[in-house]
Amino acid sequence: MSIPGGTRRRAALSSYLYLVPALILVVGVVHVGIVANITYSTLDWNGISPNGKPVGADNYLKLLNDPTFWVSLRNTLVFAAATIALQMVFGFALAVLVRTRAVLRGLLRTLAFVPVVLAPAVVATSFRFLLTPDGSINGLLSAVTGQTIDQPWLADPSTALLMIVLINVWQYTGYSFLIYDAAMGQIDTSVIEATRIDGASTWQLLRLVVAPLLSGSHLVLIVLGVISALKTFDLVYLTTAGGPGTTTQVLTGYIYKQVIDQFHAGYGAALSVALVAIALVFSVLQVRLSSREAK
Amino acid sequence: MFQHQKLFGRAISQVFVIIALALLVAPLAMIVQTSFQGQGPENYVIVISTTPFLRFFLNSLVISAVTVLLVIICSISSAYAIATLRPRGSRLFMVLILAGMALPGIALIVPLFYVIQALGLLNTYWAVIVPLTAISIPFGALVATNYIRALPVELYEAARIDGASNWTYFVRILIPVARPIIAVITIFTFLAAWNEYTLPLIFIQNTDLQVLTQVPTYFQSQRLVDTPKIFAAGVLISLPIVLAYVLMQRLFREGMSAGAVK
Amino acid sequence: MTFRNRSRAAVSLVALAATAALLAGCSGGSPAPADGGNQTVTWWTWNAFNPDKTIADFEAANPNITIDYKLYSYNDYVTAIRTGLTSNDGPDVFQVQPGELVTNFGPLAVPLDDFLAENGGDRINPEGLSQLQLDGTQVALPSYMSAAGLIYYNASILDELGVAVPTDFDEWKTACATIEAAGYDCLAHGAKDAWVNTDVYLSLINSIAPGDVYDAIEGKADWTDKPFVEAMQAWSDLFTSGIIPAGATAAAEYPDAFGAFLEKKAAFIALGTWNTPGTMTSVGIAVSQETVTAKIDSTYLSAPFPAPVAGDAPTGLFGGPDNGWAVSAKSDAQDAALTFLDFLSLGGGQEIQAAGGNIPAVSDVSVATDDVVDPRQVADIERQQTDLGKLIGARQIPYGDLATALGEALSAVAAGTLSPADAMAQVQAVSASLSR
Repeated sequence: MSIPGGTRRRAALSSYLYLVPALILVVGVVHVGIVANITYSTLDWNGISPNGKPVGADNYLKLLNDPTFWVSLRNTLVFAAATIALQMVFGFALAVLVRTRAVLRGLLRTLAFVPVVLAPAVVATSFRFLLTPDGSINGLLSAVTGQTIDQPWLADPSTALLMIVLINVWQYTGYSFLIYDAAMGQIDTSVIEATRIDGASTWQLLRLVVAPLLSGSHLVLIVLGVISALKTFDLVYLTTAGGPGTTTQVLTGYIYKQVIDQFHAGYGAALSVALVAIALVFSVLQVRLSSREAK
Repeated sequence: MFQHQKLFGRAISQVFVIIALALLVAPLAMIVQTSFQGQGPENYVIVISTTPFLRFFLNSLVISAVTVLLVIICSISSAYAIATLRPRGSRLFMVLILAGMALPGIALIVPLFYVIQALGLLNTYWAVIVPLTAISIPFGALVATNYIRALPVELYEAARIDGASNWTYFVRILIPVARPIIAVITIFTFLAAWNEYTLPLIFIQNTDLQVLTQVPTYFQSQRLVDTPKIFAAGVLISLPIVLAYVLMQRLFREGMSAGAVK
Repeated sequence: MTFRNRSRAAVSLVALAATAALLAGCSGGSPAPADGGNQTVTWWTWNAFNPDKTIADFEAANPNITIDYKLYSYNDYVTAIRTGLTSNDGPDVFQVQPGELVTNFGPLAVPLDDFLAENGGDRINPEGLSQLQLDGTQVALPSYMSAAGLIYYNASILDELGVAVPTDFDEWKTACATIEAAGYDCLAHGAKDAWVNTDVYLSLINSIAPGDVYDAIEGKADWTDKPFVEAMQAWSDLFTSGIIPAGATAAAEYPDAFGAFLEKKAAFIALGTWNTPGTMTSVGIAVSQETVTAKIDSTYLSAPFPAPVAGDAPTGLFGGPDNGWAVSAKSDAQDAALTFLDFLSLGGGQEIQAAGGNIPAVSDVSVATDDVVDPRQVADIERQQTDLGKLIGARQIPYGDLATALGEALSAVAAGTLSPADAMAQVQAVSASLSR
């Protein structure tokens, strides 16, 4: 959609006006925040006293050599990859399920979104109780398998991160479900029928026809998923606080710890800048890919 | 998609539906069950009567509603520029707006504090509304841009040929047509604003202006954590949104299908 | 109404609400002026003992002063206090504890040395004062004294199983075998919380090499020296031998471990003297009861934390002021704030602490023992107060990075992902890099 020729210049100026409200707010709050963090990241500062000691790029050098930073980064990316993949698969599956002839599918549709609206604090604390060795989840597993299961899911370093991934999947699959549900609803039924007539099985139908048609949804979910995973804080902090040791520590939790517990506001700012840089890469990707889609 | 399902297929899908329901419901049930421990249903009464619950409810409502309004205005107008008007450099603007999405809350607090204090907004609703709006705009702009891009090209061109200015098109045609995506932005922004915890904690000292997310903290001190009441408070806080979603499902879904994503 | 009209109506409603909000919101922030002598003192805490009675008693004795009380959870408090102390609407009296809080927020507090001299500061336990000083200046006054190095035990369980209170690890393991066979957990522990892990580690090292850890904290000894590694090994032992049940690394001390202790699911818990009100006084127990479903009907007593090495003396008490009160330098009601401070640390506030079962900061007030549930608890409480006069050292590690490093090392060893020797090497690396 482009504006016809001659009035382009005048139109362009007033077009910018439409961007102004959003820009003032986003730039005024978020970008000022980012710039401020870049400034703080050059200081050795406790966040409270009026002056910090300038240390140049020391905080960034420290960051590169900080094993906990790399562990947190790795955990954050693993968390992102796992949650996004699982949420997309399960969300897709749910969107398919509500289109079957099964009973109670309407209830499923309503219920899928309920966990999404719950406060993260409530979800985190609840699952902390459910996943204790003598908690309800082990109780259920024991009943189903007939053996006594008393695995300490969140306390065991080999299962803690997995559990956090699963809790997040439980809460937010409803979100990807919603997006897939909407997108699937837009698929022309004649396409489905034609594929069926050609003798395709359900699995073939989904894999070869439906999934490709939903590529726009896949993209949005991945990008939003990455940004949201990078920002995850409450879930980790309130279940394991990054433990045991640092096996579930994520970047946001590490930043919080450095700034609040250890009074290293300068180093925390450097970590925040690193986080934003990672997100920036994904944002640029998203804009590129989505505007290519639009052409 | 499944117009004629064979018995086997129906059985399998039924099993999966039941499993999915069970997985969804079980933790929810346990949350409610925990809220009834200790002193039982009285927990809910205690939560409402011993905290400024109603006052906080109203504050949360005002803050969330104003935030939603501002986010909608900013999202739709910027999406309009990026998707329809497309002045030069608007893609850069999109990147700028989106890049803001990832800044973690904790990194925002110190610089934000100086800005808010300088503006004299400390201890007012605006101290929460302004930052909340700023961090919610990127998502709104993103989905609105997708939506507007999906609109038929003829809509704008026809309006221009008829002599409508950009503003007239915006107000008279685009906004009404964008109602479904406005519904989507409303729900997600309202959700974020309603559940916001850290911003009100830091920027509102006056108890009269405090929000609902502070209620659970009335039941925990360093060495005494009253979990059942905290959960009861959590349930009460989530209830309005759950109800709103259940009632508005249809409209919301219409908004999602009409082009939150293609 | 068509949808368009409805949404128009909705928009106008919101606009109206927003205007009302603007007006309301804008007027909410003005500071309370001192009108006709009536002042408001804003009081921020994360842990105040019996605040209602404190406020009531104080306001009754000082009708011109109103207390505006705010309670935060600890993490929220540390986040909110940063901006609170630099804004104009922040607290007048705020809480601190020995360590990083005093170091970082001390400079924002009013120096109290003159105040102490004029108001009988020599009544206060010297240890309570010294841990709240910054570079020789008194920045806060203690609220009450507390110490760790103890375990609390469920005397009912021990009596019913005929188990004696253990004094070292060997006795403890034997006792735990019996206790666990009867279906209880042995030591309830929330290993998710670094502070309680540190308390236990200090209990261990202060038995193996009394007082040496305070040299290591100041950088005068190496954390890789033999006693420290031994203590870390003993810590690991607690988990591998089953004294601490599985799943502890994901449990919080409050409410998980404490709840298990109260509900008679575990026989021991490693808490300090602050635990006395909630487990030994009838008033305190009633408060504890509100947080658990099972009825609390056991008798609880305390004993020194068992020594890791058989036959060794167990640790002495270590601690100091549990927390303290400071006056903000930005306070616009300093006189009123100081009056309140006087009440809290030197006056009626101390009586309230003692009456509730806490050990007061002033040395001339004794802990009340008349509200106990069982006569054995009287001697127990009196012993706690006496032992508090002989502290080996503090509970808190004054350096945030070192405290975090030790906490993470303890957590990793508990989870089995790090060996005690490697853990102490990590702690030593951080300790060496500190500028003290």
